[in-house]
Amino acid sequence: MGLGLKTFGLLLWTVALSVVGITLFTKGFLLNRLEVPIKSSCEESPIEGGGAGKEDGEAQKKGCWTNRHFKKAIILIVDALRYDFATYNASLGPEDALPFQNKLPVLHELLTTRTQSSALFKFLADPPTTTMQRLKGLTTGSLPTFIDVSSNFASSEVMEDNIIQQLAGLDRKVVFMGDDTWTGLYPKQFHKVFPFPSFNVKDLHTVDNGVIEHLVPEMEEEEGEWDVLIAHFLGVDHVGHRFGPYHPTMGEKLTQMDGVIRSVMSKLTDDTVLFVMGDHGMTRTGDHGGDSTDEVGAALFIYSPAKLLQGALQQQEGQAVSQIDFVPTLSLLLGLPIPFSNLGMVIPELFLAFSTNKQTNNSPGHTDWARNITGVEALRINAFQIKKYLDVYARLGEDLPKDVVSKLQKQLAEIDNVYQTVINGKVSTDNAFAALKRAKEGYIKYISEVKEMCRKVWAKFDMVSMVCGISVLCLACIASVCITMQSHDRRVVYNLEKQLSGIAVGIGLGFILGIVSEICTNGTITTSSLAPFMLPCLGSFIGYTTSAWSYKSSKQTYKLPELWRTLKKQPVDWIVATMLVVWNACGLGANSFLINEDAITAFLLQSLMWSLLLAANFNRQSAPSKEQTQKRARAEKSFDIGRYITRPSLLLLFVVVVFSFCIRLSMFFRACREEQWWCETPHFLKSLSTVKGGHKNARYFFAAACMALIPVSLRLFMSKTGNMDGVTPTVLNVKYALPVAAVCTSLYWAMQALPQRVLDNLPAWEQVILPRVVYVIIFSSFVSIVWKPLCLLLQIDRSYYGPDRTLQNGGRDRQLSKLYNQVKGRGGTLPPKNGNPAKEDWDVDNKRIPAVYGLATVYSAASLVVTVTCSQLVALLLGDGLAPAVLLLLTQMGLFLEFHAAVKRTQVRKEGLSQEASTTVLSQVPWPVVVGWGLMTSQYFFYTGHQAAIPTIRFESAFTGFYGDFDNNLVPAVLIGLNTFASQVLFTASLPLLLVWPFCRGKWMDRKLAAGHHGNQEVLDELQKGEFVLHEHPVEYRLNSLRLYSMFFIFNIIKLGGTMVTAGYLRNHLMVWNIFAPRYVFEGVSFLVVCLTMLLSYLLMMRVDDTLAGWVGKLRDYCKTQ
Amino acid sequence: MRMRNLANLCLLRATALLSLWLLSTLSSCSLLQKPTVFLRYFCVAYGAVQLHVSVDVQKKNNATNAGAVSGRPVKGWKISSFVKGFLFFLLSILSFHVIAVLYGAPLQEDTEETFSWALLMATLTALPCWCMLGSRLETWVAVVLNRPESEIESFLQTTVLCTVVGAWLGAFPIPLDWDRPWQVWPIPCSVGALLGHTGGLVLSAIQAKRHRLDTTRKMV
Ligand SMILES: [Zn+2]
Ligand SMILES: [Zn+2]
Repeated sequence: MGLGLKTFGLLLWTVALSVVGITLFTKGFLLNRLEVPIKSSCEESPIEGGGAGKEDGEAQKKGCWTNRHFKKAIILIVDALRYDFATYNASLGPEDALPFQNKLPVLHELLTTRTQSSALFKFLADPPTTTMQRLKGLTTGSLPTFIDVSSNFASSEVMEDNIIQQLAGLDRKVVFMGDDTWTGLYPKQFHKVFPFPSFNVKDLHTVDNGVIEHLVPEMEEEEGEWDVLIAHFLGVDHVGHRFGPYHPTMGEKLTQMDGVIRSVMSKLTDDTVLFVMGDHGMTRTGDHGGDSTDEVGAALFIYSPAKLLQGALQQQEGQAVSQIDFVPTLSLLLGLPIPFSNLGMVIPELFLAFSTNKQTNNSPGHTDWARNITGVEALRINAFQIKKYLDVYARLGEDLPKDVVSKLQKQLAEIDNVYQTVINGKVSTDNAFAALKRAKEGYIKYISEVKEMCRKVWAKFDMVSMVCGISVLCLACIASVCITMQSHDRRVVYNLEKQLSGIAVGIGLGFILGIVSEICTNGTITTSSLAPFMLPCLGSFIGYTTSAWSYKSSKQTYKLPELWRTLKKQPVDWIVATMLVVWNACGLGANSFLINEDAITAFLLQSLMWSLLLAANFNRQSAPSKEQTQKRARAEKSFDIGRYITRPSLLLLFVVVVFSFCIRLSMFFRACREEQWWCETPHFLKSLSTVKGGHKNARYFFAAACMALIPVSLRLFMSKTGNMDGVTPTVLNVKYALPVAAVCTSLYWAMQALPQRVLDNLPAWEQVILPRVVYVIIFSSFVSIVWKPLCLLLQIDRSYYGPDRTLQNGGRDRQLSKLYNQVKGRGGTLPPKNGNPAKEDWDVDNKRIPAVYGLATVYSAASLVVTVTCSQLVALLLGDGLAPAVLLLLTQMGLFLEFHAAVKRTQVRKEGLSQEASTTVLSQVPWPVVVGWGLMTSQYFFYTGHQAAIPTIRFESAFTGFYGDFDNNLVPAVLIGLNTFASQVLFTASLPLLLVWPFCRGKWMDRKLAAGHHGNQEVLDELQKGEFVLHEHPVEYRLNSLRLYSMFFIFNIIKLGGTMVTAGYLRNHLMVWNIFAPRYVFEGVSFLVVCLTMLLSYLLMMRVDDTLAGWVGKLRDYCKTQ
Repeated sequence: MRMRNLANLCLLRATALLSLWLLSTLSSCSLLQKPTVFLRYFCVAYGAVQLHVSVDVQKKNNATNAGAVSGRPVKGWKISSFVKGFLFFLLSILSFHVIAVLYGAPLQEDTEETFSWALLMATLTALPCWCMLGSRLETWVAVVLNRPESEIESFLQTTVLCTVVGAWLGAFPIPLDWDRPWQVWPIPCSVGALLGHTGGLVLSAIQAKRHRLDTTRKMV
């Protein structure tokens, strides 16, 4: 096994450990509710003795558990219909009203003219307020858990008992039209479906127009063709996502909805009830997903031409019902069994007349009495259905507290006794009414208490699993710290194999032990078993440490006090960097820091950069002696501005200032969180078609220029270093394909700027062809870089190539160094295109030797191609507004690399290091630099228009190159993931640049330094060879790669650990589902993305090195045969 | 002789600073209510204190011909060197302003606040350098970056670094959601800088005292 593979193995092991940690923690934190597979049936009433509806009811009114009130129902779901969209404010004139205000006057008219037949409620949704979650709640009546959010794309059939299934089971015909999420949830239950694609948020009208086309005709179908008609409109939601509620389009859309409601209303018959509702609200930016008041508060409007309300509803402003209350209400109104897992409560106003009869309490009329009995009966059925569910659930799952459950059940029994006495006429008529009222209140209390208890329990966490997850993550962190520290020492390579086998043995033993212990204690292996996960982790860690320790102790190093001494010796920037990392992790515990995390990350990065500058100038310069100062002072009497401003430290200062400016500029690309009330969404995040007039052109051409600059600068860079001279797939790719990709991307953006109507009328293939071309080019670019990673050109003149110039043995190094020197002497730019170059140019010692172009930058060229390819992909997905941000990101990356290289080269020069030591120094990336890289990653997560909040995910990126009709969820998930974690992918893929950059860049520093510090001539020669030195020191190269990667890993793991600990610790915090849990989810996914990219880029760099070794070997063989 | 002076000087300045602060709290323009007005008056007053003390120091330096710090003998106050120093002082205000914006201060709004803070920072860091080292920017930078050689250098380094670190730490309470009136830019950073500066003064007073004790012990 090669050294590269061994180091990769160690890396893989730490990654695997952390993945197990994340899994365990997630399992404990994002807990799922048990799904009870039992279904309610019509014959089995939850009340003993209660069968079907009352005997005395008219025949056609007979329902399942009780009499039905209506025969048919129409349910209009207006997606994201917020409560204040439905209210009417008479004091506002048409001019003053905001685009969403007073746009549904039909509701107001009905509420004022038909008080007995209409009611408007605030419809409180349970978070997460995503459409699929809400549809599940609306049909099953059960409470959601956080984990369901992530399954929003894996639309799958609802297995829990629900009202649609009940309808289908009783042969009631359900006709559905609208959002096709429904057909995913209920694939077989509908009698007739008219589904329309829901995912394309850009499309404002397809769904609505389709529904409108079918709605009234379906209603007019003859009797018996439908019993329940569901229509789901998406336009309001999509207008919200695209333009926000304050845009005039929202007014138009709501007016259209008003028309729809009117047309439905005019066709309603007396036996039909109409529901108009929103599944959730929207924030002021038009998004949803969280639990803010605006997102949770939807509207529910109920109307029937017949009498709907039993007593007049006291129309209080904003009277609220819970969203899950819809299920039992609809069930009993239509005479259906309530779905088994329902926890909602019937809306009492629709069944009871109590509230109006306060004055006439003592002499209730006969009809009122009977009606109230029916109403309380409904509540009673509801309560007993919940009791039954609770009994079954408590038997299946262990999470409900037993004592609370039994207390609640006893409470219900007492209330039922009161009710029984009323029914059986055992109380006097005077008290009967009061007793009935007490029974009613008792049932309501019972139902709400059960709901509260379940809410609390299902938001409960599996602490053991969470703690296990965090401890496994700690193991991973400690292991990578050990790996980082041990790779200082070359001798560790002899120990690596032992460490790896220790790990393997540990995993094996742990796994066997885990399974055995699980079987012994439990008898089975369940999904909640911890031992088979924990023990292999622990075992491998022990295996690693024992083998690493045996090596350490034999060398007698790394005792604790010594460790402390080395810590104390660290320079300022090291301490500052560590402090910043710790601060960054601790800051995750305060919600106000999380809300402002974007600005804080930029602040920390600025601080780090300035402290790096300070450290670069701080300790290194010993104070100038008196003589020196005087001499310098005298020399500077003649003030030479040119010399003054090109002083090394001033150059560094200049780089840092430009870097700082980049950070500040990038802050203009941030998206707004819902909590950042002061924030204004920047222009760049709005879609180009909404930008007006001249700004549109300016923004477009600016974006296109930024996009063009990326491949052009790569081409310039590579031709300057001589990497463009060969004819390999990679070179051709950089020369032609990547610019073409940039052009395609720009054209695609131009197309996106067209008005929506024009764009929609284009044939489908025209809408997707351009991005697809880019995808193909990018894919081929990756393939070519893996296939032929070297961008070299070898020129050999056979006739002059003597056997004394073989490239072997000891002569090798000098030889290749000369090779490089020669190329360098020629500027490395001139490929001798056909024809012989002048002889003098080629002769060194009057003998011809092979010339190699681009050898000095062989590693960085490959890595840069990867970086640029990734950045083009990412820019396409981020969209035209953020193209400048991508360019800014690359600029900042380049400046940082140059700064790092300059500091390294200064160090080598000034300290006059030996050849060997200089290689080591150049290839060791210091911790503060890695921290800077990590902070830049976080910075550009925020400043490419993202926030760690679910409403800010940019779902529209899934349509670049696709129509929106996905067969599976993989493609949209990958595209949205790449958009969201663009910065993570880019920075991690470019990680190898940190290692190789000092070898051939930062030369501007050399020139300035040359005057003062001559340095070791041999070292200077060595430096001329550039990155080829790395090939000559394979052990250094691999160990330092491992070190770099595991340091980056440590940075990320500390951040992830911070989010885990805070999310776990603050699990009962008010903001947990709004701020801390999403932060953890984002960080977790980001961490996984980083790990995956890290492993891939590590493999790629190993591949480059292997190919280079093969190439050098071939060259040597070739020379031998001459 | 000079050492004791330095210690006294530090304590004197610290007292001046605290009394200025106290005075402003009692008067109508406290830092909380009118930060910009307070900072402007404060800078003028504290600048005057510094100038007075440093003219004193400068005289003594001339008397003992200890102008080696700046590399050449200082011969009183020349107009040209004063102008140069003043320009550097203005430059330092400007650069503090730019740095504040780079660190995230608003670009277009709150310019007056940012400027007042920059003025304060320059008064607390650049002005002492100007007063005690003469008007060469080079020396100012060198004193901050190199290992100090004399008490004055160490004094300047300590106070400058403490001021900067104080201002930096001051930024952290700004985003917290305590909804206090003082959590508004530039108040926390100004308070941080002032506290840091005071801390630096006290620290260098202690240093100077200790140093003096050491040297007297050696002489004995
Ligand atoms: Zn929705
Ligand atoms: Zn939506």
